Amino acid sequence: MAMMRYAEALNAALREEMQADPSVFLFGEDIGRYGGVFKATKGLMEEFGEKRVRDTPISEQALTAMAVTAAMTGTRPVLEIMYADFMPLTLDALVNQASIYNYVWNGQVKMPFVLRTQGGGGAGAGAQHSKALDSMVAHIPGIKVVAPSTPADAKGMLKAAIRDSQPVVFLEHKLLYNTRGEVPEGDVTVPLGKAGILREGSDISIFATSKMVVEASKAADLLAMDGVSAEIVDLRSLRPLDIDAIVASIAKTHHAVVVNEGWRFCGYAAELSATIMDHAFDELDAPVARVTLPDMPIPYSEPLETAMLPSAEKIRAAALKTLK
Amino acid sequence: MATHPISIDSAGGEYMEAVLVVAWAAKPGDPVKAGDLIVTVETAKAATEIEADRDGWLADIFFTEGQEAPVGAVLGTIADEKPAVGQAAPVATIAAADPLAAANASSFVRQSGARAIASPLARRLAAAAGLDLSTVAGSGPRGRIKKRDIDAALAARSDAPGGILTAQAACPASLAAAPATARQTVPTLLIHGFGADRSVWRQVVPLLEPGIATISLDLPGHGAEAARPAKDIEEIAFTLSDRLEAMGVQDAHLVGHSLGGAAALALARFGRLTVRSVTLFAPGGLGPEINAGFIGGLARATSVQALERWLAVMVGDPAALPAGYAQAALRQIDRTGNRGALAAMAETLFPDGTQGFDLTTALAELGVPTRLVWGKLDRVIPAAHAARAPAFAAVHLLDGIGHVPQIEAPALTARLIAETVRSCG
Amino acid sequence: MKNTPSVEQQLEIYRRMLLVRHLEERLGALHKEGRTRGPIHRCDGQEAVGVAATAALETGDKVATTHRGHAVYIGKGMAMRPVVAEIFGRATGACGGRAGHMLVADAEKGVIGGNAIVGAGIPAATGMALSMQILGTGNVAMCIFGDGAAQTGICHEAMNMAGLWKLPVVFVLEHNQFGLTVPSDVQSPVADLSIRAAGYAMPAEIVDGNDAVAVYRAVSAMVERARRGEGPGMVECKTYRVEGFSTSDMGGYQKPEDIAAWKARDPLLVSRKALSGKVDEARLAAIEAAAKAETDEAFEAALSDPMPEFAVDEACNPYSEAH
Repeated sequence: MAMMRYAEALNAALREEMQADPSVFLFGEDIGRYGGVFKATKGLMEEFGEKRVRDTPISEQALTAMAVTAAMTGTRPVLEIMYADFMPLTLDALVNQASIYNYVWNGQVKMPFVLRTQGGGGAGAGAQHSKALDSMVAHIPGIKVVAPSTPADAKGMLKAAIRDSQPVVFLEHKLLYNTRGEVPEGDVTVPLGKAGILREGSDISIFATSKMVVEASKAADLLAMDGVSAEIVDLRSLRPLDIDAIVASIAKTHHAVVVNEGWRFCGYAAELSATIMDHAFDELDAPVARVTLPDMPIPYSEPLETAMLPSAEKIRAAALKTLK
Repeated sequence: MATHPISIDSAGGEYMEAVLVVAWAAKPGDPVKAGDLIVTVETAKAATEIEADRDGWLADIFFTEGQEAPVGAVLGTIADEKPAVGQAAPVATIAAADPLAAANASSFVRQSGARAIASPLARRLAAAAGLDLSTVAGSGPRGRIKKRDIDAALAARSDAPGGILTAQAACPASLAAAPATARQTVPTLLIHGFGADRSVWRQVVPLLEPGIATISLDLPGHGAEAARPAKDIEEIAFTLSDRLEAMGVQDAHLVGHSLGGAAALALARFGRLTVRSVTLFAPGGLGPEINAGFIGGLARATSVQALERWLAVMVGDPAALPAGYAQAALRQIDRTGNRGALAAMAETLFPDGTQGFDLTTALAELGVPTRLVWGKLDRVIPAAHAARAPAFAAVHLLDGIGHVPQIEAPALTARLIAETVRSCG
Repeated sequence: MKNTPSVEQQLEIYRRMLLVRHLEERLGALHKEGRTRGPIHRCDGQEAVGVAATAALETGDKVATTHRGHAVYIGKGMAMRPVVAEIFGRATGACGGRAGHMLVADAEKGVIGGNAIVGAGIPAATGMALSMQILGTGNVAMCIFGDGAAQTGICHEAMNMAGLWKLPVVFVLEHNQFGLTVPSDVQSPVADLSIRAAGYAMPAEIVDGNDAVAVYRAVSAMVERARRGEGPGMVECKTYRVEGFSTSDMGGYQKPEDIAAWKARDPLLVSRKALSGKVDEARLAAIEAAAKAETDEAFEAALSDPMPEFAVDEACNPYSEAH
């Protein structure tokens, strides 16, 4: 085990995979000479050269479309899209290209590419640089979507994503890059499609994604003081979703709060809520509660932004209401 | 202030689970006159207009525009007196405006017969323990019964045996087969006739008194069982018996209409089920005659016009058929795709235009309260067959009614079923 | 002249153009009988572009094309029967009937593939070229795109990167004068779209798109450059869409005199004329008869091929471990 920051864990995963497989290459805005706006690719251009670590023009649409066909023709591209807010620019490549070919071309091609991006609020980045658009990509069949919340998962899942034969959207969070945690040394992967139980509990299950797992953990501390034992399930794989883990947890606690930093309407939390209804209805002792961003743009000023974002206190309130 | 329900039972759409409220023509507090359009609902994709059945004032709206309402639900009420302003705001609006206020009402008294509000887990636990939810006080938001309330009720039950579980439990009348319901009281099994499905009882079920729990099953080759036809009455009885066993039903009151009446008798003769009482409406099996043209026409009709003409034969007064009934029935046949199954079953059950089974002996051997009901204007199976009823059976001949009392006279049908069920104590 | 195709190459180009023409005409006839499904985008009169451009490629090279790609499918070496079967949604189609005529792909032949999002083929080919450059395969990617696609934003993004990184990609602009119903001069302020190539530091050449030999010469020069690592190039092929946008097109917006003038310069006539002095008439007639027979055979076989059966199985599960 080594203590690492989240961004360092990503960096280590990229380095190890590039060392192991010459078909892995990185491209994106500011990732080469500068090492990435969030430093995830620091030092990699020096180590692997300009051919395999490319600074690109600001061309998200074409970059994503190029990742799709580059992946079909023998390479394993890892594309960095600087902000999740720019993902709308990538959507044709994901919706009309990447998601269809495996099926409509009858299995003739594979598309092992990773689209890394980061979203989420709390950093004063304003309405165009703070969103979590998880549901927009998780909606697309054929695309895997993961969002590790710890440095260990960041490394293990990025390695697994690069080795996966399908497109993976890898969601990071700007406020997670500096978080620290133990990371296993060596070639350890974390399989995609499995949830993590961050903390066991018996009264209520809190299902959270990305940085909301951190908030949920804080909420669990607060709830402990209320005499409530909360279980924290880290839905680090948004799709495919680990339905068994969700059902198992609800079968134990019979109460569920789902937390996602995206918008509420048609959001990822709505999907989770419906999934719980589909698979664990008879285990529920109360309606599923959702904690999300309200359906509004994210404001700039700190008190305004803070008021909007899901937080430990909001999760606690939702949990207590659910347990009424 | 006396209020009267605005309901959609008589508005057609027999084959639908729910209707969509399209538009209210009045708002709460508005005066209405008998015959005025009061609300438009969508049934079987056709708009149906519901008129006020009396003069008064629109008092409540329980389902607002755009909401779905279960068939049989009370959509709103008409008051005899002008309601006080503000009293009649739509329920849904109150709930949406202030969910917390409602949630904070910790003690909540349900009206007798109202649907119990309980969490899915509480329902499951109550069913498993044979606990009647109407006897449990809910401590959750809006009086919702939660697991902890079930736990408390069960603890109390073990303290005072018999104190909570009563035979007179008010069970939600369920169209769907409900094994949980079956465990707590002797259920009443409703068996429909040829060419229909279990929804044919829809108008009757809400009119049954609380305490009568019903199970409506689709016959083989019909409704949800469209893909599994049966070739004779014995196979029908066998299939029904199997399904009841799978549901854990060991004894039941039987109610059957037409072919379903014959099926009820065959089921009783089969002997695996303990039969508590039998109520038969124009049952088959009591004589050779049957209107072969009707059976064939029903099985073959592919247009609304054709089906409408055959359905007119079914009733004493064609006006008794709800508007859009033929259309809804045809849609149902198209959806289940059982036209072929029906035609095949018609061939084997009614060869050469004759009832291919004789159940007079089965009827004569019944040792439980038995009632036969026949419309005098029945043009499908002659009411004269009622004369073959054994002496112990009550026989009712209905004036002005054809082959389907459950559609033509649902209230009377419900009353006669209830009287038979009650007569066995 | 440099890069002039040999007579045998010209004959093969002519043969494939004949196959495509028969394919299009037969599809038009079957559409009138109501036997086709969905819109069909015919490329009659534009065969020289798709066939001659892909004739300049090797098997390991890859091509991305448009929704009007029949000439590219056949030009890049796909057999008639899987193409026809795919157009008719048969189980034996190149993609098992899942793709339809706009999205045909054959990975082994390097057809990757038809694309019906206008403009999307341009980054598709550029991405393949990026992959080839990183792996050092020595192969070339080609994009056949139209004057409509040239107006998309993604066209600029992709060509900029192709020029910037000297990617081995050749952009073949099939300038057929129309984006659906709107003529090119209502979509762009310049008639010769290839002047934009200068902005991406790539060479460009304008050729008569109905002259297969001219198309081949220009494209093969660009392909050779790209293969040498000298970067992308563009060839603008001027042609004309004589059969409307698709079988769902009501027409009425193309001038009859324009259609007549372009039909007089039909690429098949141009190619035949170019060959007539070099090959005897009997051989040409034999090739023509054989192409007709091959088309008839492909249609006959494909039309009696089985339809696919829908099954929700592991292959349909995008998250199956099997992928």
